[in-house]
Amino acid sequence: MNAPVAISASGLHKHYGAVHAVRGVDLAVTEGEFVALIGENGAGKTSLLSILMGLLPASEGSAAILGAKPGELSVRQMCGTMLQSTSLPDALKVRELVELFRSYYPTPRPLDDLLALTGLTDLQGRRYKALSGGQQRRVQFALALAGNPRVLFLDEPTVGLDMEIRREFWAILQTLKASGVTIILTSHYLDEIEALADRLVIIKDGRIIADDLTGNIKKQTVHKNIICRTNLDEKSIRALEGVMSVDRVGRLTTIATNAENIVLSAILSKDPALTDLLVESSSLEDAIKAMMDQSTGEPT
Amino acid sequence: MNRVSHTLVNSRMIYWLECKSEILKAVRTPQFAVPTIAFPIVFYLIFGVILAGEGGAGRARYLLATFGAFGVLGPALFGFGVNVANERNNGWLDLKKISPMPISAYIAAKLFMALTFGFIVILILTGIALFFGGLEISLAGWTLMATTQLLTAVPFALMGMAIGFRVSTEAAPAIVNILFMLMSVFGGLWLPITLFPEVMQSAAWLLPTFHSGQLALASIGFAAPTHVIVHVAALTAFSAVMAALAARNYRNMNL
Repeated sequence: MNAPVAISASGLHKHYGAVHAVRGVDLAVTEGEFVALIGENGAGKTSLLSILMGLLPASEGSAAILGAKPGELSVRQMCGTMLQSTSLPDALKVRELVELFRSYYPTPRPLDDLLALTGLTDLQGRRYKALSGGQQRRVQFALALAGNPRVLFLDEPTVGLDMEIRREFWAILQTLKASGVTIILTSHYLDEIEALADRLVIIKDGRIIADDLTGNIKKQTVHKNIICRTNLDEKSIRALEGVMSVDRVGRLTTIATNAENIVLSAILSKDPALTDLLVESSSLEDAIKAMMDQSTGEPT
Repeated sequence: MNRVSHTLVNSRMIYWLECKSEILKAVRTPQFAVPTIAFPIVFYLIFGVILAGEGGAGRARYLLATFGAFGVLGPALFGFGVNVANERNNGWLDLKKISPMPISAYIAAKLFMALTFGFIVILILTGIALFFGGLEISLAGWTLMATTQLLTAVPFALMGMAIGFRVSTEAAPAIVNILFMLMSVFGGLWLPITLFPEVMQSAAWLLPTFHSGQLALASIGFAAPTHVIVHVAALTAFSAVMAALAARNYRNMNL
């Protein structure tokens, strides 16, 4: 069975003068998928998103959202967006902003429902200016959901928010995903990505260097991290069999290994005074870091 | 399922809410609302009433025409120039462009706000002229004047748009202020252009404000030395250039 395609892109390029920000991106996202775009600042994420949102024309290649060109009215009616840095008009009240955006869409989410979902019911009479950073972000989220979108673009939606608010936000996203909304997320928080995204698309130097299910990407670097306080110096640890890398801050040492039993017995015998021993599975962050380091960003 | 065609929405509702939002924003932003209204009134009181001297009624009537044009100029230039630059640079305009809002609603609402503020200024100026300047005017005569003045907002709204779609948030107020002041003074909106040296009177022809002032004067019965068609043509040409610039800058704004 072929699920309908929500987003497709082929051979996308974007030049800004001499800068080649997007260098041949192909992407297909199925309806209902939750995809995270990962990449360092300047990797081309925002340019790619801007093309998909219809804000920027591609220099080359083509893209489609729900079967039509990005930026077309039919597409805009089915998408919701949270941009990375937006200030809404300070002087308007939460309810006024939300009502305004609802009026743009053919089948908006009911006002009370929308306010309740985004936790704004009690804040609806407040001016945007009078809200905290987290509350302002919630208003922006409400605007993204105002039209009952089938595709949701979220560019760094939780940046600067505290953990509690981020978790509330995740819960809403999971509900939306369960109802079949396609979600494209960029975030610097890997815990967020690991908790939410089905699939990761890693971008480096304007190219996709990895595109796979979150679980598969995590598995690509299966190793263990041995963390301990030891008097052994970095060089002698590095010389041990099975050690992949060593990171040392003061006496606190992190050893990446694919043979933890051998390394553990070796360091324990060499340093009986070793303390605070901890063995961890490698994280998503390790996997992504390894992929970014391996890739030169050149086409393979 | 038809995935290509869009669904019709109640666009009257969009226009209404956009206009309402613009008015609320302006009213709740004293930095905008107060100078926009107070500026022309204070200057009119000084030049048109207090300093009018013997020529009293004639001066009050003359300057009602040009200060009305000045009163419309402010909200058009600032409402578009400064506010659009702001909203473009802080992402609000991007968010709206991505949304299904028709851009015409955005522009119409800003024009509606500028005209509303312009109209308030014209009303207050008229009140001052009636009570303190000995103005006598028929309703029909006044309606013609006010309509003419309000129509002259359009070229400056377009000029504001051309600026707002291009310059930075920081630069916009400075640029707009300078244009606003220079064009007002040298276009003869503060003092009758006939008081200026001849060179400046000739140079004034290059300013759109001169033409909007002359049209306002003609509308209230000051026979212009040149036919009104010339001023209408000049403002139309200016509007066309500004519209083209605004359209170009809008297309380039995300590049």
